[in-house]
Amino acid sequence: MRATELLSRPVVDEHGRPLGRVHDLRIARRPEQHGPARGWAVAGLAVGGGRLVHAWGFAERRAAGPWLLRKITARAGRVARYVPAERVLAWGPEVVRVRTGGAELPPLLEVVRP
Amino acid sequence: MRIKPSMLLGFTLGTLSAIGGFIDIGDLVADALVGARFGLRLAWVTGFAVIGIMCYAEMSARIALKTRRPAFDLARSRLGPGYALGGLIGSFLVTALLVMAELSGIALALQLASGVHYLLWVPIAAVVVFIVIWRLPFEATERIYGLLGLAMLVFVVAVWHLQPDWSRLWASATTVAPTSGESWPAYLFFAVTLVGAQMTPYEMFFFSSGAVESRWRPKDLVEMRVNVIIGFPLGGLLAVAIQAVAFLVFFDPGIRVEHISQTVLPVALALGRVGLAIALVGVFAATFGATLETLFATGYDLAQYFGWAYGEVQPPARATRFTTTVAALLLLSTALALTTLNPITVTIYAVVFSSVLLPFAFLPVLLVGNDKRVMGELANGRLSNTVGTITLLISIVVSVAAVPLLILTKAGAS
Amino acid sequence: MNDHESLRFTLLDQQLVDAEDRPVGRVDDVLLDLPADGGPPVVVAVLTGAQALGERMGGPAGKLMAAVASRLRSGEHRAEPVAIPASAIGDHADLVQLTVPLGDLPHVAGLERWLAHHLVEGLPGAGDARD
Repeated sequence: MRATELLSRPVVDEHGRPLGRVHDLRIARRPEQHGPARGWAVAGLAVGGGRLVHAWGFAERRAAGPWLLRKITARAGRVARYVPAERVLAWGPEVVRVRTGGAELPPLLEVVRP
Repeated sequence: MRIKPSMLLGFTLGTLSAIGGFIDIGDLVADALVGARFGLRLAWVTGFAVIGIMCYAEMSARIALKTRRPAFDLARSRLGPGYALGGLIGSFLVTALLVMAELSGIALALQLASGVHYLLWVPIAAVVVFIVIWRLPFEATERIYGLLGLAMLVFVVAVWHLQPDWSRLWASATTVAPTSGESWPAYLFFAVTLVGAQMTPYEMFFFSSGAVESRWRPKDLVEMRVNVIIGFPLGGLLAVAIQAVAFLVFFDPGIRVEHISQTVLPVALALGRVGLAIALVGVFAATFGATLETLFATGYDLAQYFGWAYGEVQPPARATRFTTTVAALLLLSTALALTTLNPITVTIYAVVFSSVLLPFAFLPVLLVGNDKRVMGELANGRLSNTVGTITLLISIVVSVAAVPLLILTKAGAS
Repeated sequence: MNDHESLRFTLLDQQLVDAEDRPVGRVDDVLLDLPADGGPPVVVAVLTGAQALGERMGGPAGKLMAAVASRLRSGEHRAEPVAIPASAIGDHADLVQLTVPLGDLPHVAGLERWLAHHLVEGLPGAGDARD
């Protein structure tokens, strides 16, 4: 599977309700492989809010300005959610299916490093 | 702060590259055309262009200081590969047109100096350009043509020697409206043309790679900013001087500028043969330097998009795709120049299309400049962001309006 | 808080350099694998070159780019884009550094080598084309 196939794939919950699209993958170093052959695993997905807020870096607080671009993307940034990999039931091929258990997914802005 | 000789050299170099980047064939053509038809009524556009390009040149040089990589390196992930590729193909085509016009500019300067027809000089100019790219270190050549480019200051001297009515110049410069007999669309079209000629992405690009090549570090921030503050306004002053002399000589008799030799004619009228000779040296240096800069900028853009090896630090065989691209572009432009298309027309089209691409060049630089994880304490301040945002917004308006105005006015003919 | 990072900003589209700091290409795509034990996908390789980029972009321009890139490459590796295994990727800050030199990656930067060998090497002043 290519990472870019996952990007922009629609995400639905266990009842098929749409949650937005995948706009970024959150990756982490694999803890068991801190040797010469290290690697990454997908820790979760950044979902919803539209592509721009993610591509421009506002979704993960890389930038605070300029004011106008921040304003344009502010609402999208609040909409963006984080889906931990453990909650993903199916990664494809058409849609990503996640288990929400009826609860709200955490906002992306709350789980990224400031 | 102690002033060391090396710092002084750094000042002059950076300043020269700023002037050299600002004045190229686009300016030589557009300023003379505008001066002859609108006097100084579009000088305010040059003022805006100077401020805008200063802001983005400073921003991209600051990014280069911090990351030691040219600003566009970080652009692809922000624009996405599709838009970035569109911008790349667009700038490749614009550059082919521009290099064609620059080569014609070199050849016309040689024709005026020697009497031999310019079409014979075009292939010779192209060969010399290729040898310089192939063999000479860029810093040395940049120094030479930057220094020779100072000869353009003769246009400023010529303004005084033409003994102008200063109050009339001032009145013209402070009027924002077309002259009588000219239409608003034509006025706006030439405003777009000036923006395209004076806010070229390669200036920003070049100033920032100069920062990488001079091995500037974050501690050299002040030096870099002094260069921006001196260099670009000087370039703007030259541009306004070209507009002014064209105004003084061509406006009243109603002569239209249709040939590049007309750009230097007012200097000859004001200062005689010596003045003309100096102006020709200036034109030669400006167009020759700009040919190198535009070719390199496009080669770098392409190399960075695909992550290829590039640049002057590697011998040509180590960066073969880069060298091949630059050579192919030069060949294409030479072929275009030999078709005897009017270089003035080609220049106008090139700078108008260049203005269409401006937002694609500015947006990623503005985003990277604000990225705190990349830039740390060197991230954009309020001044950079305010001027940068306003410039970006205006560039979007210019980008959208450029082609409709081109069609509406038949490239400024009506 | 969480030490996970954005794929967009740490891996995808980043500059790749080899162990000797020579530019190799860009990370044009990332190959993921779903482990059989049901764990999250892991990065098995980064893809580089115009073929991977063309396939990612899609559309007529992307298809053309991928087809040309695939055609330019020779031998049995034609069908798949150039992949660099995750085991060859070292530390990354602003760029992605490999732990091996370019010479150890025979399928990477094929056009560069071809042009060096056939076109540029014969010209005077080209320097030494061989690595």
